Amino acid sequence: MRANFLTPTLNNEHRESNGGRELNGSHAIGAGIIVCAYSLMLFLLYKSKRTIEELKEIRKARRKRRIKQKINSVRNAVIRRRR
Amino acid sequence: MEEEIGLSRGLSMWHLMMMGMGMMIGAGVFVATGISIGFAGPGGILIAFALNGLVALFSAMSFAELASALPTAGGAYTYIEEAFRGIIGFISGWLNWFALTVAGSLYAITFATYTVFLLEETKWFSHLGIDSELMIKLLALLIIAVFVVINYIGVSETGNIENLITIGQMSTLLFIGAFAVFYTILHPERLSHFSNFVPNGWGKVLAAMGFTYVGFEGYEVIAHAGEEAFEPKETIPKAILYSVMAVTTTYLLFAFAAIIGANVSPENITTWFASHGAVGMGEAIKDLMPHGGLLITLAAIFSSTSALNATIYSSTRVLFAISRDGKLPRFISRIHPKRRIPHIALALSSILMVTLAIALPIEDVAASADIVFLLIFLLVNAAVIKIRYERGDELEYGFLMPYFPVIPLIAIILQGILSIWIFDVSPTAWFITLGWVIIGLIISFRYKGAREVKETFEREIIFGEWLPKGYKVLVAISNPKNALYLAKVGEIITRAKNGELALVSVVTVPEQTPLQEAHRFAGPALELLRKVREGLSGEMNVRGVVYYAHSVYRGIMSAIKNKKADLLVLGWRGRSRLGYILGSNLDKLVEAPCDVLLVKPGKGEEVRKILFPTSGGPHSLLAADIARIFALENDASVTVLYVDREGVERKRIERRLEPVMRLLNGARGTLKIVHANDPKKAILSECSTYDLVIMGASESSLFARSLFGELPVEVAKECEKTVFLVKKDIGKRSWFRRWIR
Repeated sequence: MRANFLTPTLNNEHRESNGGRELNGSHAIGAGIIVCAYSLMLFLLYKSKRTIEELKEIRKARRKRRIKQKINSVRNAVIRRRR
Repeated sequence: MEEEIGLSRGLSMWHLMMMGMGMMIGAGVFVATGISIGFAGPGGILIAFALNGLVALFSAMSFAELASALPTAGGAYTYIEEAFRGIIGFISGWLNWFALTVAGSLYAITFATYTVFLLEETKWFSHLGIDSELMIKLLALLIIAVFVVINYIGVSETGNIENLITIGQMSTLLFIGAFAVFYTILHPERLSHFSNFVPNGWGKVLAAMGFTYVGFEGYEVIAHAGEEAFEPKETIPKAILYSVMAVTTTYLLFAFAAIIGANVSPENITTWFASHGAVGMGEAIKDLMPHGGLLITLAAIFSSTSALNATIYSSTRVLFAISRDGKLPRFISRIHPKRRIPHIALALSSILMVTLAIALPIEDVAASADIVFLLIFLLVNAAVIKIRYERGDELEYGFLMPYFPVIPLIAIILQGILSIWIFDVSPTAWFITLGWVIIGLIISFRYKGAREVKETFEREIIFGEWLPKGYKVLVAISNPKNALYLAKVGEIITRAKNGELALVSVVTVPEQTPLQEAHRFAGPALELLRKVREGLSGEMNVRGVVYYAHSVYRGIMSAIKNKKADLLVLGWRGRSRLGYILGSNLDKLVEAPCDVLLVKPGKGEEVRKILFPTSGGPHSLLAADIARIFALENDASVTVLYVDREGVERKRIERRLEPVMRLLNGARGTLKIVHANDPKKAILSECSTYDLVIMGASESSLFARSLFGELPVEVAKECEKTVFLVKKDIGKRSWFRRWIR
């Protein structure tokens, strides 16, 4: 009981003597949360960018395929007519 | 020569990001940051900004997905209305209007607060002896009046000036942040300002998150620019996501600068910010650098005026849209004959904005804006789930958020918690918001238009009555060659089940053409429906309906939901299209939320002998039921075919097929076991001596993209006789399969 009461007081005194730059539990948790949140944001951004690029490639491929099909159908129609 | 009129695609990703960031760094951050440090502490605000950035990114992903798929729509109200319709759609619009007007009040007060903060430095202002609070209210009123007049005259679009203001405010904030970092390197003792990291506990951090959330709204404006952007499917999602990231970084640096800058002892920093309230940021930056006060004040004034202008414009447009949709009395959407602006909507928005700015203290105004925006974004996150589940198959997405639906679900939970937690900062804000929701609900109950779901253009009943009870068979017809045959198949099943038959034809128009225009192209569909009806026996109730939709899939899905269909009958030519198993629409429709019967008509209509290849399973039970109906109708015999590849005993096979045989009770059924290594070959060799082949879908894993299974589809393709493929809706399993596809 006595030890629990004294620890924060001693920590405060120690921190003040060091210009208040001592790290405590809140600092560690807080910094952890900030770093994790920011890293997760960057990761999601990277993932999202990749998805956007992939979908763009799919759209491009589909467009190419449609053009190819159109060309083929026109070519076939011309060949049929010639015959 | 024909002249084509359209919007020029002139907006690059950079322009779009500028628009989004300009709206986000409105003014909320200048006011809310100082107040939040005052209760959450120096560490609390940094954590709040980092986590808010994450929550905002979750919602931004929802907006990005919806904006990439529905480029003609835009804004939270449109997405929520698209997903939910009815009363939720109305309440979301009602809240959206309130959110924008409250935000407008906040920007006006921020402008006034920082102008007074600047004036207080001058001698002549102190000589005047006017009370600062009174001056703030008067200035807020004045700036609202100025921008209402600007909007009334119709010059709200300031084009490049808006971009310049955004660049100015972003660079000011980043400069202050960079200066603070440099300053900290020179004066590391200033880091002691973070010694009391979270002085009032973690609950206050949550409250700070909720309270500063208003600084993370505004990116939705990017979605409005869909028609004016280069490569909108790519640039719009990217611009939305990047602007949230950039703004989060700016806010973190800005808050860091304020904490480092405040000229106060580390243990008193929280109280110092609490005592300075809304201008805490200004005071801190003033201490940090020479002319810092002037710099931050100018940034706040520019941000608030540009945001106020945009907010008055947007709130008027939202109110106009709600009224035009018939959800509020029509007179609100009247257009001024000379000015050509929705003057009544503008007047109502202005009155609400002024009332809030004068009646409430700045903390309550900011908190009200936070609550309403959190609730709206929560609904958008729910909308993204519903839209992807219901229409995901037919929409062409430019962006699909990763880890769906986990991310929107987490966002919903977090936004719910944050909005509740704001009660800790301002109970008044919650009472105001609740009051506004109650007024909205009262209006929706008193005014019929508010709760009506607009479906008038979606369908047209051509003939027949629809009784709400009984087994419902829905036959989708489009090809005149097989329409009558499909209708007859539907009629036989309906008669056997003593149910109702609906013939549905879908008329489609492209996405950019309104559905109201679709009826002009309905002629052939109406003629086909009438012709098919004449060909039926007329013994039972048949209803013919034309659905107008932007895709065949959406039209038939509307019909299934509307009629609560039990069985959907579809026709198939027996050929696959490139990249699809059955066809672009059929692949999606066979996963419909009801039983499906796919009919591939073959040679000859007379049915004397039915072949029923099966190996058991839930789909086979439905197939057996249909086989029995057709056998009894045509007095035909049914041969249940089992292809044995492993040399299983006959008794075991009989036990396995017992449920199927039991369902055939009443029909002349026999079991035939064929020993063969290739089931497809075995079935096809039997087919030639039968008139009709009925097969149930084969069971596949939840993740397989097999639709009916490979074997039934391959048999149906190659068999020359009529083939029925049957698929049972197996509740949640079918729902999950539809969802993951």
